[in-house]
Amino acid sequence: MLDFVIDFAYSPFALNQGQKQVFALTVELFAEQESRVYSVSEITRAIKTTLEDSLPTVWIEGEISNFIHHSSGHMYFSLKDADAQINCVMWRSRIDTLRFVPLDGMKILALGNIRVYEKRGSYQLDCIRLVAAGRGELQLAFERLKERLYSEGLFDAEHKKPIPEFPQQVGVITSPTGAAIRDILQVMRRRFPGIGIILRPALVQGQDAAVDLAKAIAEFNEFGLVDVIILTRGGGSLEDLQPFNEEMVARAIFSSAIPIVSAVGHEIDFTISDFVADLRAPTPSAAAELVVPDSREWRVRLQQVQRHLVQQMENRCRMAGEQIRRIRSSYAFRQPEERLHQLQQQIDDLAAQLSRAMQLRFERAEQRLQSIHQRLVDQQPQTILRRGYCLVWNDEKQKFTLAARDLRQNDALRLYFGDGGARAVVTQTGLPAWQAGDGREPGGSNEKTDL
Amino acid sequence: MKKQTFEQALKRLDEIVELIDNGEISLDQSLNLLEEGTGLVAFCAQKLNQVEKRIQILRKDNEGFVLDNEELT
Repeated sequence: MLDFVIDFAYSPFALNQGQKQVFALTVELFAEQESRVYSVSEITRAIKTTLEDSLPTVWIEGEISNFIHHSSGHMYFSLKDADAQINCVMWRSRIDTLRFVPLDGMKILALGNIRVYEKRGSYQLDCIRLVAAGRGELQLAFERLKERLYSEGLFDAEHKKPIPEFPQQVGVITSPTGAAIRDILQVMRRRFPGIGIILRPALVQGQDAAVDLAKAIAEFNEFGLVDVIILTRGGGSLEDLQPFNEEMVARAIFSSAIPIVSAVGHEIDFTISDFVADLRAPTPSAAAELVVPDSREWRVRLQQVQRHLVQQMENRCRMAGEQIRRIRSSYAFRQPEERLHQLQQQIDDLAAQLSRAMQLRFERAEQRLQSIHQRLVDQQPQTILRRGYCLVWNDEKQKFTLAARDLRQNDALRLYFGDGGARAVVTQTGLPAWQAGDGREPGGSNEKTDL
Repeated sequence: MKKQTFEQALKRLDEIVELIDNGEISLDQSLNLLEEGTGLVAFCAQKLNQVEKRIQILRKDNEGFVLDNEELT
């Protein structure tokens, strides 16, 4: 170290007084340091540790330059402002969180960690998330709220309520004029026409929307008569979806005793509501599909169950029949009288059960015939009506009338014939049934339930 | 009896199928189960075939909740 100093002090270059002072200071500083010599790796590691430990995950605002989307899938670029720049990388695995295509000159916010790349002796920002700076504030608020609610446990799986498989009534919270309610109605009517749908009209964008949405959730809970709630709106800008990112709405969802399905915006949009809800659906239509079972599918399944049950019973009966034959032909019949009686009893029991089974099968066959008949009627009402029959729709009860006893005086009716309809009012009830020549009622179907 | 739901009926149907498949019950018992099962299937079919219901609008006023049968405009 001393040699070095002397070298400088006697350098052939002429130094002025000021330069000499600077040199002297430098020399002093060096002298005070430990005389230890670092390897490049060591000092780099020291720099890495110092930098990475002292800087937490940070948001950095800047302008993109030198953007390269490498063939490996990773993105490399610099963030710069008027006076400085920093190298950035976004690894392929994080790119699907991007909601925009980064371009040179774009102003963005980047969330990430400073990492030292030892091989090159450079440092860079390892980006976790990029946000276009125009929407920066909303997005930041979103991220912060999400983090806070997450750490409070509002998104935890253990709080998720199961969605009932067969809801009788579904509550829907959305705009009464939006596309969402139309999509939902269409899907539900196709899948399960008999389901009850109750709409609580709500504001879905603008300043007052969050309050209204939270109120709607509370109201359904107070009302109580729905099995599941769909909270939804169609696609829109981040600002449009903002009400669904408000803490108030998140808390209302969390405290709802009724399970909530959230379907806000398009597939790619995730809102706080989606995270807190018991189930997230990518679109309003998808929410309807998730909530309402497909009646056609279930009809097929029910038929399978029924067929299976009957088959099993047939097997059991066949086995019982074989048992009877076996006992009859067994040596046991040559045994003393008391034993014989016992066996006889056993046979009688089995035979009685068999005949009941046969009767059941018979009734079932009859039922099946009737249901086939019913289906034909449902599918082809015109053909039946053209033969001179008439369908009676009761305006009061909002259903077809199948029996005279269901009519009350002054009920408003609609009569449907093969060629058209008419309105009518019941003037008198309690008339005797129509008698045909063979003494039977027309159709003989007053046993039918109103399936 | 309390109003049966579709879900309860299906659950019971599952139980019945399992009991009958097991084969460890008497013929008489399985007959009863078949009878019950047939009733449940009919009940479920009826639920599935219910006529289309109109959408209702939930409104809260001073006296409580009102359901309107309004058409959406």
